[in-house]
Amino acid sequence: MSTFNSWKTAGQTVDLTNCDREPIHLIGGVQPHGCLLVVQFPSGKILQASENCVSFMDLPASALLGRSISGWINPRDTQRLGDQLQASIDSKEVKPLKLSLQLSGGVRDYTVSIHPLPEVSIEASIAVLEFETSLQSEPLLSFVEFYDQFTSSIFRIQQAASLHDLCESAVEEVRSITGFDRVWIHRVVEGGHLKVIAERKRDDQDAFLGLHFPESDIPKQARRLFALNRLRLITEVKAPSSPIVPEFNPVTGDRLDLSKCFLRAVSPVHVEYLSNIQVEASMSISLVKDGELWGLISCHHDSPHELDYQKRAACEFIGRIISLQIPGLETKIKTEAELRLRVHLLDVLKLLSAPDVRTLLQGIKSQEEDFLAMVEAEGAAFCLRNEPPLLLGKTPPREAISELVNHVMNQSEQPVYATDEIARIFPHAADWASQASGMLGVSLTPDEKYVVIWFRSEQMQTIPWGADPRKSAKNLASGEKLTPRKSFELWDEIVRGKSTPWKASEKQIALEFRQAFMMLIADRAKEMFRLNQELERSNQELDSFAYVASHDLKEPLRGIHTYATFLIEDYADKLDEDGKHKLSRLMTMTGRMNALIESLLRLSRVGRIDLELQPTPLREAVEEACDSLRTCLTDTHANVTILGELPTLVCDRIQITEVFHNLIVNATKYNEIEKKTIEIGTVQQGGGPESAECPVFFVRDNGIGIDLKHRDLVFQIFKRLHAQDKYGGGSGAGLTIVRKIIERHGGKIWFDSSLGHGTTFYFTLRSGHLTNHPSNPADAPPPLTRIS
Amino acid sequence: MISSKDSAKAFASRPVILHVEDSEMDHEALKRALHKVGTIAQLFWCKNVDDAFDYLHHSGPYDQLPAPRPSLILLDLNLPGENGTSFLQRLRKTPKFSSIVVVVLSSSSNPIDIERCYDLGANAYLLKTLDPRELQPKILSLAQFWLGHCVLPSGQPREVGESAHGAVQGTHA
Repeated sequence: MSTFNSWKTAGQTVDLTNCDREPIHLIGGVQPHGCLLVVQFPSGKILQASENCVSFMDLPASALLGRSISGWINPRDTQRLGDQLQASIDSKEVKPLKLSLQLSGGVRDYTVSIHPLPEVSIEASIAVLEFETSLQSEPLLSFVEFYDQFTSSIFRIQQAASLHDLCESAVEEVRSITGFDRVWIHRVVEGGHLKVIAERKRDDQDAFLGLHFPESDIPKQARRLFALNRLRLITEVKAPSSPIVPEFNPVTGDRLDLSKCFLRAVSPVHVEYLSNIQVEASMSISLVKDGELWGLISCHHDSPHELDYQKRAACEFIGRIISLQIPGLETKIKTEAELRLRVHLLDVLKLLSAPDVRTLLQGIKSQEEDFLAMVEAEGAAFCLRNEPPLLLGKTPPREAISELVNHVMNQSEQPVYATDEIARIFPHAADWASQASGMLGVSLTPDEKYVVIWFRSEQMQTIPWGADPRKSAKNLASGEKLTPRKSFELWDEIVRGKSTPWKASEKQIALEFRQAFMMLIADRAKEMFRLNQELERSNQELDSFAYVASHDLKEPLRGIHTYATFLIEDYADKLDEDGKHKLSRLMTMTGRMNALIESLLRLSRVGRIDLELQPTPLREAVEEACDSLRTCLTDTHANVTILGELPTLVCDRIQITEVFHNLIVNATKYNEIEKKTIEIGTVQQGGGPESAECPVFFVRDNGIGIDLKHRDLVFQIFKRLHAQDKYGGGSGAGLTIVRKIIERHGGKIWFDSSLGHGTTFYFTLRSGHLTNHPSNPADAPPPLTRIS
Repeated sequence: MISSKDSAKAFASRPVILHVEDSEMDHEALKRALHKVGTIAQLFWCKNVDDAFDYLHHSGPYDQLPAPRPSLILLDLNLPGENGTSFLQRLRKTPKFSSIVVVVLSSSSNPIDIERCYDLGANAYLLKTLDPRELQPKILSLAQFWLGHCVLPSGQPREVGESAHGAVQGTHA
């Protein structure tokens, strides 16, 4: 206990720079409105006494020390004193007791507050007894009178529906019970300083309401004492304190710990502080939440002001009642605020049933108000991958969004990021602080660039300080001495570049929105997967239908053709020319139909057979196609040229050869020019890295061209743009097969044409990784399932 | 179900072709083609797989009817009931008939069908064409090769698992 042995009562200097360390609980004196005895039990031996005992007991301290208190009290009271001490030991609370002392001048009545010092031995306890007498001015109330007055106050306080009501009732009731000039509540707010939230005062006094007071106004050790001792009364600020003698306890050897003593003398710094602001008496009632000081009910009087035990007890009890009410009311405020947010969230979540992200964004745009109100934001940016973000309400300029998005995405450890001062991270954000100073960002998906950021504009705040916090002890240069201020120097602090801070509940809402969004993505992906599978199955069914149907169609067709042949063979001599001609027409027709069926079979086979992916130098594929068309090319005077290099791609070599085959056949067929040229090569598309992996091939001819109004018909099966017998006939399935092969390779085909000048077909092959990329084709990712 | 016009004995030395085919028209086309290329082979016709096995085992109606062991089976795939590949599979598993030359004659150009037939032990695979006249050159080559140039297995029944030595002894006996 004796860590402050070097501490001196007399001549010591304490100022604001060291008042945080001032051991005010060891002050060694009491206020003069009561006296104090330190008594050893069970002997009753008085170990220490305050010097002012003489005015309460007509006995100087020296006459009391070393003697047993039982000499002045009757045995019954001795017994009660022992019982209350035990009760105090058990409850760790200070216990009251009515006690009469039999003094030479007669019997005198006291209210005694008793509590033990920490135990020094099992056999002997040491108790601190604080004596006060009833006030002359206000005779003690009977229990019934007290109960009546007190319960109506408690009732009012308990009726409070909000924190504001509670504080208003509290100051009202405390002022009416105690009669202090000014009663107010200041609570500890963010940053540790105090803000006045309720006040009752004399009409002629300046209001404190709304003022902020620096953290240093209540030093740390004072806060500890406030939490320990729920009520602190200074009846007469200027009255000199009465020292306790001897200074050190003869049993423990320590200074007396006055933490729990209502009579504890006032520290010189605090006396100076109160005197400076013309306060003659003060009282503080602690409001404690979760063991921490939540705030204080403070009372000031401009003349000395005494309160008897009953009123002090009532005030302390009110403090406890209020402390009990605070968590409930705070939760209520929080819950109500959360509910308000949640109503908006629910409306926003309804939007998530949108079939795709684009529709979702439109929905959010139309319900901007809910989307912002659900986190009490004024603006928002919804960013999807590399698309331009959707901006709602007040936001930073568009060009500033992307670095904010990246910042949010880089907070890998937490999906939600919040700041009320963007400019602290990005100093240039000060330029648009009036638009957005605070942001609440959330990465909607773990790895993709789906980010929402909500914004709040600058809350230019004027903080009215009851004292300039810059002049607090911690901002002082060493050696400089700060004495308690002479008055409340009103000073307005202007806070810029900050928004109102984001509450935990708002971050929670952002998190819930994220979870709902992630579930949406997961659902979408599942749905897309199911649809893909269904589509694949139905495609497969269609393919096998086409195969079976074509196969079964071939048999009767062959029959017709064969019997027509037999007819000509067997009855040639009996048929006239017309009959023979008609039979030969019949055979031509069956021939054409057979070709159609063959194409259908071919097409369905392209769809059914698995791709045999292998690295294929496309130059070789083109050369193979040309080899198989050698006669055709020679006959039609067509010349195929490969322009530049063709890459090596992983693809189905046979099928890709067929693609070139069919495109070359088309190019020769639909060409009336004598010298037909067919050019094959790749075009480099400008743009991102995707195009490098995905070259665009072209097959260009100088043929008749395709009227662009037939653009959509070109790839339709059996759709011919020309008469049956024109341009060498053909089944009309060639380009359909080409498209099917390309699509099975994840690519696209399109064309450009100018009538009479030629046609260029372009295509890409997605599944074809360039072989100079070290990836294994078997690892090639499946086509991306996107929700947009 | 026998197409021979004369008694079986008279043709004992002529090669026998068994045509397994459900389509009369296709059989007619084959008959014409064979006739046109001037082969001396005797042609027998079975319309389904069961019929073909009855023929080979001399069971069912072939108890009484002549059913000489074929040198060559021409097999259609698309048959009513059991199909041609099933016939081929069963035939190759039957030791008595496993060595008979089987040439598939089908309209299916599906690589899967072709692959499967060779896999099951077909000796050749010919495509039926739309025009029956295109069958003639194929049948001509077929007859020249299998019935002319090739030395075909004798078709003597041999026991499964019997050693070569035992087979020689059997011939002597």
